[in-house]
Amino acid sequence: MNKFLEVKNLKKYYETSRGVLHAVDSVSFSLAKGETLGVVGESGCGKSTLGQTILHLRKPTDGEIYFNGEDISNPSKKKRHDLCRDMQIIFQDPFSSLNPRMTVKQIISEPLKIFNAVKNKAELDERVAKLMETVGLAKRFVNTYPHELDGGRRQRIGIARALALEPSFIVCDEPVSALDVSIQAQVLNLMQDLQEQLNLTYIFITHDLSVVKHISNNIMVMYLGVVVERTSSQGLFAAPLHPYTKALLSAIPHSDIDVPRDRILLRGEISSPIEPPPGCRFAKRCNYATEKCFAEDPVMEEIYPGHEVACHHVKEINAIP
Amino acid sequence: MGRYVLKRLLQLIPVLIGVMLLAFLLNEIAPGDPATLLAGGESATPEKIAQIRAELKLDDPFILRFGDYVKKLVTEGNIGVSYKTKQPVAAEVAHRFPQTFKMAAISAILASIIGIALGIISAIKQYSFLDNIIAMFSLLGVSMPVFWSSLLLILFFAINLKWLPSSGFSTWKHWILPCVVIGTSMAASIVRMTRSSMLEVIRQDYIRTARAKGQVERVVISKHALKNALIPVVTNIGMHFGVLLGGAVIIETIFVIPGIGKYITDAIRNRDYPVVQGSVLVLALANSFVNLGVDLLYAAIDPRIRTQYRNMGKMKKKKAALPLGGKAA
Repeated sequence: MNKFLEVKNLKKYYETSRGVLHAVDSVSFSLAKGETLGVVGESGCGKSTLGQTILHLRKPTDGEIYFNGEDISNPSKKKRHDLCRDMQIIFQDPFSSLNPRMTVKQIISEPLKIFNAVKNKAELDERVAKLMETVGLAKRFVNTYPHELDGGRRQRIGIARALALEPSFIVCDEPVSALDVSIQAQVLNLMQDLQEQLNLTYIFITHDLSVVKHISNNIMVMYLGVVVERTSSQGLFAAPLHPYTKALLSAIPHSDIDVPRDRILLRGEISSPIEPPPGCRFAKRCNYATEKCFAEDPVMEEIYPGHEVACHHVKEINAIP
Repeated sequence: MGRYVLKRLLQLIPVLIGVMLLAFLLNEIAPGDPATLLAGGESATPEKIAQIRAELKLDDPFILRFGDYVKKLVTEGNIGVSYKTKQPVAAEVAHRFPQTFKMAAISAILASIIGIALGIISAIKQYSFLDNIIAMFSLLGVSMPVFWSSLLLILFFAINLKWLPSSGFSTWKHWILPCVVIGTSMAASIVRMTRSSMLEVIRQDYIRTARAKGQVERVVISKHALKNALIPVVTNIGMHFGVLLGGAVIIETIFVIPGIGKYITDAIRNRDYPVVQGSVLVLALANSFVNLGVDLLYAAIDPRIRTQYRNMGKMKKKKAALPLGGKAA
């Protein structure tokens, strides 16, 4: 596989007054150009932190990141600045991620100005108009302020801004979770169209499983800062192997109320990411947990080709020989 | 914008009438009698006191005196004559107000520069050694009484080192100590305000957006963060400045500066009604202008407020235009 982005053992720890918080712990993955990697998991499992750490919006504690074959684990100030041309992010909250003092035009044109990507004002106006057209924002909004627009339009501004420098890789950090469902579909379709047109590579972070199924090639399931399962989108929905993934998938609402459902209910709450004890992070809530689970860290193991799981008992649970 | 300013200036008229009425009423309610004081205290003869009361028209009903005062103000531009010195209040205020204004302005500028700069540093380097040091100094600045810090500074710079004069107001050197005293105590509160406001903004997603755009940190702080954080800080500075225009009585007393604060307190002690009324009127006017200035600064800082001011004018026009259009149809 041609590795467009490769992340090895990425860690992001925070020092807190109560101990070291393991927000992202030893996450590894790679993805090819034009692909979409979905990252799912419940609130607070480190999805957003992972995305922001890859872009160096947060400084990684440890680990390696390769982008286009180049080591960007510890970029110089200038390198990190230049990376903004190729790697962009769409933020979750379209209400707080836009500077309230700037007009749509100022927001979209700022990256172009920073990188001197345009020669003159006429070209700048043209680029902004084109970007707005690309994301489906009417021309008349060019001089409005974000607070005058609704969530969907604001998110389109965020997308136009991210696209301004024609990046090849975009981290989409729950880009539709703040939008209502009809707008969600519009924005998702827009993002898929853009991916086709511009050959973009996405990391798509979400807690919405139906969204991730719709848009991703591969899916990575995270729990409390670690990856528990990684496989293709179809593979995951057809046959989830990790107990956490099973529980997660069983929670998707169905439209048919007559079909009896086997909901796997998890006991307890997500445990604290501060100084996690050794062993499987999920063990406390897992129906299959044994002593081994509380003592040893499970490692990622390829059960089927392209389907990796981090669970000591994956074979017994799924009756795999 | 011009329309907005005009509207605000017109609003001044009812405000000033209200202020005059209040000042008049307060004088009326306050115990003590100017005639007795002018006649030489309790030992004065009742005839003498009655004569002075008649001279000052103190026996006239309240409404009559207030009407007379307003009439004189409007027709002659006369804000009164001191009972005690028989000097016109306007001349005395014109002489004293510039001193107070100068002191307030220098202090406020000094405090804003120091306060905002340190506040930004504090916020960027939150919980660092530098932040703690700044926090300590601002706590000191807020809690140290100005008379005490004034005396310390006089002792050190004027008496021990003999670098600066300890009182007076003739050269620029005279202004250093009083302005430093007021400026530092004011800066202390601006530091706290800037820090907390900046911290709130720095955590916003759009600051991360600006960084993701590849914007250099300096511009992220100055353009994206500071401008969004400045509104409460400007409010704070405006309020301080307004209070300072009322005169820093303690500072004026310590440094022997003939400012308006001391003028008013002396007048109140002497029950010199015209002086109190006249200076309160001037101060109210000055404070109103400070408030207007602050509101215009908001517009300069925040384009949304700018648009709002502009639209205020437009909406008026539309409302006015509607019934006319109806008639024509």
